[in-house]
Amino acid sequence: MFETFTFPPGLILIIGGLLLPLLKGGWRQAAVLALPLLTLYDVWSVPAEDAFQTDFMGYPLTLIHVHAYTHIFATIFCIAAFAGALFALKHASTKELSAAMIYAGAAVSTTFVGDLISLFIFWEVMALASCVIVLSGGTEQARAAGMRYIAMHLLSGILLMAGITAHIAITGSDTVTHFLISSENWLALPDNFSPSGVARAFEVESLGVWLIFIGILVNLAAPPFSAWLADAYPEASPFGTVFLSAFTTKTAVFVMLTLFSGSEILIYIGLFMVFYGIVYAMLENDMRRILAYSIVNQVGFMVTGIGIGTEMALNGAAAHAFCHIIYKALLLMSAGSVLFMTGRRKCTELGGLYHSMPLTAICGIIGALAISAFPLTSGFVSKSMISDAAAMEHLPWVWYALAAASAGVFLHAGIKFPWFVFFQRDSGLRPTDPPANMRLAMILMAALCILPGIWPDPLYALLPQPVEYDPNTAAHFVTQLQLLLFSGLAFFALLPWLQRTQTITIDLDWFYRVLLLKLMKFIFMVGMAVYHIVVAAGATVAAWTIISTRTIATQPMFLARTFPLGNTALWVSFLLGVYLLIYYNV
Amino acid sequence: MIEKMQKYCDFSAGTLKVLLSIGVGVLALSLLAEFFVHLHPHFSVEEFPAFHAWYGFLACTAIVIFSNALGKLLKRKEGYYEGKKR
Repeated sequence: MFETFTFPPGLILIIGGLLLPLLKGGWRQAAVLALPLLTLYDVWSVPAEDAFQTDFMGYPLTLIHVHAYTHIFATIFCIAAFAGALFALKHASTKELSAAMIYAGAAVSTTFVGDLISLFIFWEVMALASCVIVLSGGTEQARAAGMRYIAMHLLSGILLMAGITAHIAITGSDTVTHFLISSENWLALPDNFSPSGVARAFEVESLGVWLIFIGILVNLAAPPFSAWLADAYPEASPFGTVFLSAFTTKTAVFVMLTLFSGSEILIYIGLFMVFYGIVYAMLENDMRRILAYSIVNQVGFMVTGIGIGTEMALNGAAAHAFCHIIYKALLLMSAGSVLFMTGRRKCTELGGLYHSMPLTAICGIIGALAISAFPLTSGFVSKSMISDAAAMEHLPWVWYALAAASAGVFLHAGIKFPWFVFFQRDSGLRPTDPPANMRLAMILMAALCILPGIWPDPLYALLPQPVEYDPNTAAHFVTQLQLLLFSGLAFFALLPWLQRTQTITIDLDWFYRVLLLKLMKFIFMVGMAVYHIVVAAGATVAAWTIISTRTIATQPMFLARTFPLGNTALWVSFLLGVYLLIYYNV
Repeated sequence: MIEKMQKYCDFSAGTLKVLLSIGVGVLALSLLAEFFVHLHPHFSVEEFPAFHAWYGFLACTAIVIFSNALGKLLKRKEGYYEGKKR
């Protein structure tokens, strides 16, 4: 059975993460760095055919199944776990590091599952481990945000489980298969399943597929579930946020890509996410919350690509996930270093830090250029693949929207983040660059932001289909530079309008954080009122009964009167006498 | 104009002048480059001169206006949610 080394890669990180607290000092640090690398080695050494199969209540569970996009996602998850571990090495708590390893392991495992039941299991492991990371933020806000976060992800898990159960009940199979939500009839059915030839929309058979779809949307931070991300991620520690940014949403991207590619509805969901992220980031004051909104924005690009569904668009979505994990980790490391060194997180309290944190500023700017798809950075390669796929499919409105969004990304993440943190008016703060391990992690990620920009071939090699796409042409350079540079002009021209205020922006989570709370308070008050009325009415009835009984008992009426004992004895002997007479006469 | 700009940053007037002229130069270069490179427009709108430049500028302006308007509606003081608890 084990001719080659076939151990599920993700389990290395999960088991390692569980054992981590048993190790001491240097050994623990060594293990945290070694585990992701060992996993990466395993990712590339497992066989292409299914392995590590077992049975669960008659359904096969497959822990090693290589899907089309397994390698690129598993690889980037390992790189993110390694860089995050290097960044967190010295200052994160053991609990946090341990949870981060389990979290990364579950994400890697998700890319290797061959059946939907295992998918659900690792989905839940991810929810729990990431919740521990949010809670490790240690503040009261982190505790509250962690509770809201886990509630959202348990909801996602329940939807997924219900969908999978319905799907298995209908088809009898738990293997990972491809679904299509077609725009013609909004039908959601597995490809290999059609009960009576042509099925109509919203048939009960498609219920399971819709539930799976919505469950994935929750973890994608797609509307109307976008609020959890910007609520929870910025409350984690400077190290926790780096891990959080990499795994949950991108695992959802992988699952969406594998299960629902080509479903047109995803184009509209994706475009909404793109602009939602930009607008909320524009209004935000907390530097890490700006970057959190920008995760939703970037995932929106990937979701749009999945919706377009051509080979080029899917390759673009996967490549964009790869590049995004790197530059977003870099941006959050840069912001995390600022938070770690200054203890401040708001644009209005920061500024002028380039004087004393040059390396953090440079790395932040490189991340900002990459996210903006500046020529010669990774984002330029991957984002262009998605928008060119839209053009090739003759979807002009999608292309216009993506071009406007690219300009908007430069506005909210590309300039806003570095400008308000490292430049603008001097805050007078003079912190130094962070400790060596944190600097090293940033340098590594900065290099990985630039490398695919000048030499995209290794990135293309990770993709399942051969890519014949050269982003680095003179025409593409000129058009992209025009777009970005004039967006930059707009930023500085409109700077007075962009000054941040000490505010937050309410989102759809207002409904459960405020309205639902008010509703519950109202229901409680009504309940209490009803309770008091019932108690008062009951007390009245009881008092009335007692009083009337007592009145009857004290009235000199015949039956209510008390009788002397002698009278009773006389009556009893009389009755006995009557009984004797009757007995002997019969 | 320079004094007004200094309200938003901590560059000296001299530095700001240098940065401004570099900025204007780079913008002009990106526009001029169009004449030396053969572009392959996807759609007919792209054939407009400097399409990407004004499209980027207008898109950003629209985003700023829209988000500021939405902010009027949705912005709350910090501690809005925490305040509810106390």
